Amino acid sequence: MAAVVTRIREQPTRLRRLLWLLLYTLLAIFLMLLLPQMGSAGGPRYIAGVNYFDAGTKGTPLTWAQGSISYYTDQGDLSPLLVHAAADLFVADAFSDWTSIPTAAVATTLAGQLGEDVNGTNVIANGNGTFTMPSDILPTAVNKPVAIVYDSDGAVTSALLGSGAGNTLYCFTNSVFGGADSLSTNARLYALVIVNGNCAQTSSQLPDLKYRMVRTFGRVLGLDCSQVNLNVITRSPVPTAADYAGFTIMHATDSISCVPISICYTNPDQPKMDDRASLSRLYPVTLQNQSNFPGKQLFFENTIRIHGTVHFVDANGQPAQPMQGVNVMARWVDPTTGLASRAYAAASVSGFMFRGYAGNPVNGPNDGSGQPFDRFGSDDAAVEGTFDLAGLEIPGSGGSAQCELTVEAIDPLWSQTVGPYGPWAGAAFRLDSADRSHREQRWQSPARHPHAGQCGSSPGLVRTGRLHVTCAASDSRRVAGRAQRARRGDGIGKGRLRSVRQPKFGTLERYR
Amino acid sequence: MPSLRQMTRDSGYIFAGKVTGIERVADSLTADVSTVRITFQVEQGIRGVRTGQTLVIREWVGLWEQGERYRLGERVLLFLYRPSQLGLTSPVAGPLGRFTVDRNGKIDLQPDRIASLASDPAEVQLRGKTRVTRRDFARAIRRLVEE
Repeated sequence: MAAVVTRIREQPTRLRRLLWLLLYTLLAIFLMLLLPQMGSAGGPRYIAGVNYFDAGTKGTPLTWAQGSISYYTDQGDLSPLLVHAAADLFVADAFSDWTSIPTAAVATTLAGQLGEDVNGTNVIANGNGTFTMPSDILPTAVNKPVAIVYDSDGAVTSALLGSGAGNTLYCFTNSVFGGADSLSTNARLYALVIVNGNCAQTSSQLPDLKYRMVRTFGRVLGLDCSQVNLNVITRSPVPTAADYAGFTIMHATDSISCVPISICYTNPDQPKMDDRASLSRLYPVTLQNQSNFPGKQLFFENTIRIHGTVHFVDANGQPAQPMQGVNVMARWVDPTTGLASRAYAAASVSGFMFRGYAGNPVNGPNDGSGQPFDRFGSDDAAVEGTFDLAGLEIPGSGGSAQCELTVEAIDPLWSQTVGPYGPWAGAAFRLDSADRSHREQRWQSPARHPHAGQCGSSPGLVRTGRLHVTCAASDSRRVAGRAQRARRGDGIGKGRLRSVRQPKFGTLERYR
Repeated sequence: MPSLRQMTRDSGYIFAGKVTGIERVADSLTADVSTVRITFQVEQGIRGVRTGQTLVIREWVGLWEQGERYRLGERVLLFLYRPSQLGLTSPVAGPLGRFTVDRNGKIDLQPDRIASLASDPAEVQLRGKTRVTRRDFARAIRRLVEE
């Protein structure tokens, strides 16, 4: 579904305005009480918040310094099939899926080995609720920022996840796990990745292992899950080859029927445009760092950026509260067909940089695990409801392209971990409507990014659910989406933004 | 993929319950690794735990940071691995071992899980259903255990 909110067609009465005011007041109170901690986003996984991180880092994504990642691997073998050297090559190959992205200034280096063969004999319980592991795989091992454990017999996996978790039967979920295990106060990442050797016993297991490793490495690099072409999973509508070609590798979850993974996806471990754009946004190749990444292309100069804010609309049709947690999609419009591409697509979750719930006097400032609510996400109101779609590629040799913007709900079943409102986080929005046929949505482009070049025609309003923006490479277009709900059935309450149907708008209108 | 029968076999605890406590067990020494202690009020004990009992489990903090989280007041039905020698556990087969319980106490069987459940001929009571009561679910699991 593409619309978030609808537009009231009839002139609102004074009473209706008062009712809306009351509703929004109640909603605001509700959100203040229940909105969750903003822990991550559809793009960067972590955004430095007010508490915990250094003051100067607030609102910045957590990344690896200069895009340079040194990793250390276990001294042991992963399996008889992947003995130590072969396992190292396997890991390097999985990293290269990310480091080969031409506009991403990121590089990995196998810097050495861990000090031991990590196995079930050196992961030890202390009896006081804690346990001990080798010191160089602990979060405190900042001199070995990424540790990769080859768990040859699954014993470490079973020790950490539970007895039997390392069995081959559970490779679907437990073959590669881990990710960032420490976040420094200067907004840098440290990571631990455990690879289950029971999932590398035969050559037929390796494609699945690599797929899961690439996804885990995406998290290590600081990426969050994303939602693009979800119909590849739901099969509604039945996916085409283009849907698969644009299906982000950082989708939240797979259907349990996808064993082996190749029966569900082609080239499952290859980052797609959404992945390339997301990583490049975190680690852009710039004039300053290009010399460190020979052969790579400048990011902003070779891609398009569209960014802006999604708002609720008040009873008078004016922008109101910024809307968080909406999946904003950009798709390249094929000039020969005039249709939005399914292969060249990227997404950003609105409000990904903003914090939500930051605690209150009743519930206190910390979450259930004792962590401050406001450690992630900026408290700068200017970033509330914002999205950023930098990195949109222009297929072929053309210097300009037209993109289509739509908004859609985060799927509550298949995209639970996409964006800042994870299922554990509490309440966000919900928009359920039995009748979406009269939805309209407004997009406005009132401003430009400071680095913007000429980006198509002049700003204006589009009264359809889709906005077409014409941009040239290196252009940056700022747009603001305004949305409004009109029907009582569009209940806003506890839950997440729900609506995963296909858009029911009228004909497309060109941006003008 | 594991069937419900296999998941049941590998579970130390199976129960529906409410999250009543979450506590991070902080590092006491630099060589230690933190865990998260989660307390459940068991509302329907199926395996390894009795109805009405309070169950405390510990989860590796790294798993919690990955998103395997709970929130206070949340109702879930869990298949949990037997605790490891470190005393740690987590849902069997990750998200597959975790079911949402709605406010009416019914268990949400999501579409892809229905296909998995239907693969096991013993699960007649669950087959084709999208929501089942805790009692029906418990009955089906116990039948698997007895067979």
